[in-house]
Amino acid sequence: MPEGNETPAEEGQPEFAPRNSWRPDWILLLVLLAGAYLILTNLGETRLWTDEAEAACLGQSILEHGVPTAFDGRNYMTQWVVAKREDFNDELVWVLSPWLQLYVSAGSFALLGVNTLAARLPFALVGIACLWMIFALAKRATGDKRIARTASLLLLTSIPFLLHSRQGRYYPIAMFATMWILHAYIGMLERKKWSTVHIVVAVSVLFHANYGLCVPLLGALVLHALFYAWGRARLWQVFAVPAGIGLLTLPWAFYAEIHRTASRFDLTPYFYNFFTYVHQVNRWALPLVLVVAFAILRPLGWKSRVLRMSNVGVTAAALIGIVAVAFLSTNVGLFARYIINVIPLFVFLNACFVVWIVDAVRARAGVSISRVAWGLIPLMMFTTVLPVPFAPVLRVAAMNAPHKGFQDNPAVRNPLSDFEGIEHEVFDLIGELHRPYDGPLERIAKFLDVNAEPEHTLFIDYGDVPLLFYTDLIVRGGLQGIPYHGKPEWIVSRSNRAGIAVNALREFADAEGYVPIVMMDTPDTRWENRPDPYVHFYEMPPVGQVARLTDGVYPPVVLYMRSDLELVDALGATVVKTGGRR
Amino acid sequence: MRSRVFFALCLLPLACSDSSATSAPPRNLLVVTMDSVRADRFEAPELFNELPLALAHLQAEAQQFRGISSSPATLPAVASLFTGRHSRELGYPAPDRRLPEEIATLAELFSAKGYDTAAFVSSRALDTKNGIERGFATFSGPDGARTEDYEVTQAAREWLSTESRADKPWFLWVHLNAGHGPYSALETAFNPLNFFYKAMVPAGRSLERKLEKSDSNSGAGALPSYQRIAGPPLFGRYRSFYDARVRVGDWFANELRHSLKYTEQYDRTVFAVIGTHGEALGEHGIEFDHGHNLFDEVLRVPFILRVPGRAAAQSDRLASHVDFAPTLGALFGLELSSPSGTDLFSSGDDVDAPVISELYSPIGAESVVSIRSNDWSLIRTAGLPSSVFDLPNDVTQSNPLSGPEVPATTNLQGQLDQLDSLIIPELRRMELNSTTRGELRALGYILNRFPE
Repeated sequence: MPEGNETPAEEGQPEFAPRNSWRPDWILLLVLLAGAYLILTNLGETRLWTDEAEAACLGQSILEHGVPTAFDGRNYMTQWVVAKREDFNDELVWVLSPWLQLYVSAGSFALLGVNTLAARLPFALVGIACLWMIFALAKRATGDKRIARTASLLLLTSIPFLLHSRQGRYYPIAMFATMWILHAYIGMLERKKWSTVHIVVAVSVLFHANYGLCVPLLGALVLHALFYAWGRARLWQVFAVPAGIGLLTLPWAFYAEIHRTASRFDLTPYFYNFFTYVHQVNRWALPLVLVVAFAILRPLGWKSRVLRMSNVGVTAAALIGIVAVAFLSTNVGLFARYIINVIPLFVFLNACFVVWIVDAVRARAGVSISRVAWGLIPLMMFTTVLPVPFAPVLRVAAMNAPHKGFQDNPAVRNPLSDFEGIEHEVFDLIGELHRPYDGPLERIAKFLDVNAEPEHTLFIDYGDVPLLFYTDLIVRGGLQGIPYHGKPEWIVSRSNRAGIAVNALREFADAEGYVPIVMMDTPDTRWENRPDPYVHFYEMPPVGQVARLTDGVYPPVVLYMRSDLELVDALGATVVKTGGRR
Repeated sequence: MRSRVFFALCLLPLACSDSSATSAPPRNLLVVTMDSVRADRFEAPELFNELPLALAHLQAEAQQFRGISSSPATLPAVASLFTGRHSRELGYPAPDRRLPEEIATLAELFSAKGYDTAAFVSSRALDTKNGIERGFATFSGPDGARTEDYEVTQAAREWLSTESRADKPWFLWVHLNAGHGPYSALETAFNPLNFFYKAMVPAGRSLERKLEKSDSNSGAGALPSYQRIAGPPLFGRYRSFYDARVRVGDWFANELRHSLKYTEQYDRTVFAVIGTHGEALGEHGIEFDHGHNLFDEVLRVPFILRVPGRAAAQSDRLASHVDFAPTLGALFGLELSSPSGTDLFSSGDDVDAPVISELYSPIGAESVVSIRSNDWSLIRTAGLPSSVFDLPNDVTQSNPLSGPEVPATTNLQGQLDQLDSLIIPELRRMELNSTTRGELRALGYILNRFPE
């Protein structure tokens, strides 16, 4: 049990009592080791999926041009269908998202070469650092090492945290920066030396990771400061912090014209998004049953030493978390990544609830019985029992809320009903770490590597960006929004891609006499290594298995080869004889 | 230290972004001609698609004129563009006739000045037997009835990326089929831009209107056979196909612009995007075709000219294809002999000067001539009385004025009469060989009603 040497501070102790200086904590060390195992093992096995590949391609372009460049003379790195032609500017420089992650990728490629592992490794290391950061944050916020240990343990098996930490994208940076900001904010109110510099740099890091996440966080922090900073912060800090942040963020913001690119807000699906995010928080960060229990039991005398309005860290974490979920529900998109940076904050609050229960039980039933209460930690680390009571409520609330076309996508709607069991996905993840993972992207890339020439064009209706990274071909299609006509050497029609005229593409291939190449050993899953827990594939299902996200079954991957080409090696795929060009 | 590095990174793109502001004299020329593209798709693109044009950035930094095609047929239009001469001066309508040797083309003039010259064209109407290839050191024509714009763009992009481009000035011409049919499944059903297509309903017409199918390649009153593709022949459907094609052309033209930027040649290159002619989408009884008349739907074309160092402007000046070569002549110091057009940047010329367009059937029948100013349009069809249109009050050109209503000051008829003197005496109806006839029929330039 993570009971430390320290005894919890007594009630009435000064809020900002000096903390013990940091020294190695054996539970934290174990957490870091376990985190390294869960985050680093087989990190390069699965292929980069679209969003990761975007960062990787742009990172590569930095090595060549010094700035992220969306055009390499042949191919475009763009998702214009989504970005409505605002993702790169007229100088061909990428401006849709901040560049920090891209320079991190570029640095990693420069050191380790351009490959999948290098694309992910620096972010994964930051993910591991998050386990230390949550420990440090909880300790600073509460002065209670038990909460710090509990928080790091709970974060260790939080599936969104793990999956996002294993991605070659900004997510771990955003999580780390968010905790760093809160840590520095508490320090600022405690008048810690350098805390002002810390908060300026941390906010700027979050901004350059994803400025969209920065907005609700800063809003919540300002709101919090209005009530908590009086008499604690110094006057010069009130001016220095915004000035410093402005200095480090506004040049890029003006350059990128973010007012043009950040315009995807829509209130129609607001409550659908909101309840879905709360569903995710309930399942993977903070079971709402604990919050409700606290609300009921606190008036009955089950008081907490840290879960109180006077605690700066707890109230700020709660406010940031709530504002983030409430604000980001206005975005028309619905992705776990939009709230990923506040997941650790909810986990921190979860740890406070656990320790509250332990302390309350100890006060009423004695130390030995309270040890049983520590069982909540493994219960939450390895099962999802506690989220179960609220999952159906949130699902019904979400499914009955107004929504738009995006939310009609089964991949968005179904997850709510898929995650009401008690099996914890960390075991699925451990399984994934020790299995070969031959997803559709890997299969397609290998096949094209053997059979296609660099001057060939591949038209693919979804999954274009990873193939930009993994092949030398001219790649068109996907969400590029680049019109294409002509007869490309290769066509890939991803069968499960919703919303795209799949049949039209296949009919075209058929009418033009393309040769179908069927890969019976590889299912055409819509996604594979996506970090959203509800669409992540921990292993590839067999072809023909009933699909999780659609009404049909997983069909095989099918490539179409222009009839004037010859295969070098079918690599085990079935080449369908069509009788040549019609 | 960390902050300083970070700040420097933030400022880096600001430094990079200024690269287009240089004002070195223009050295190169890239001309993109786009087939069958109406001006309205470029002048008011928001009416047809939520997405801005890919070329919107070019428009914002270029001179845009009110383009008027010299002829609603590809070859004469392009020939006028590159010679500064009217169709009748060049001997059209004879498709078998090569450009007169005595009239120099832009490519020949540039070549004589030591430029690298290349052309990548996607229309059979522009093949080597017409003389349009004269002066181009590299001329890549279509393989079959036409080559896809994608392939043409790719080839041009590769040519632009060749290292030797930096050593020598160059003139590159790229012809895109753009709005010219026939349409195909991949570019229409699977064009992501269709997500943002706006099905604007033209006044008095229904998108559900069923198009009659013609057995010939004529779009007169029916959908030409060369335009037909599988599926219901609904007006709205075909119009969305047309718009998809225009956006395809828009994209590829911009892709070339991106290549110029990528190869750091943009700031020293004059970049022109010009439509060859428009396309009738049901107006005046013509369905998805051109080459039947000289109304605005087939004459008004995008005419965009970006000259480094010259301020962007939206001009009301009518720009004919014949004005293009003299304009470039002035920019690059070329010696054109007696062009019919004028330098569009010269301030001395009458900005309201009317422009002339001509339509001759490839086999010499049904010649139509028009003269158009910003306010008036006079169209004279052989054997018929002239029609005059008051354009500000009759945008659709559906109410021809009778004689007394036409102000004498327009003097359009008089100017048209002068033009007649230019007709090349030896021009006669010419017989076509069967190959040429077949190729032209495939493109809709020969109608089945004319005798073989």
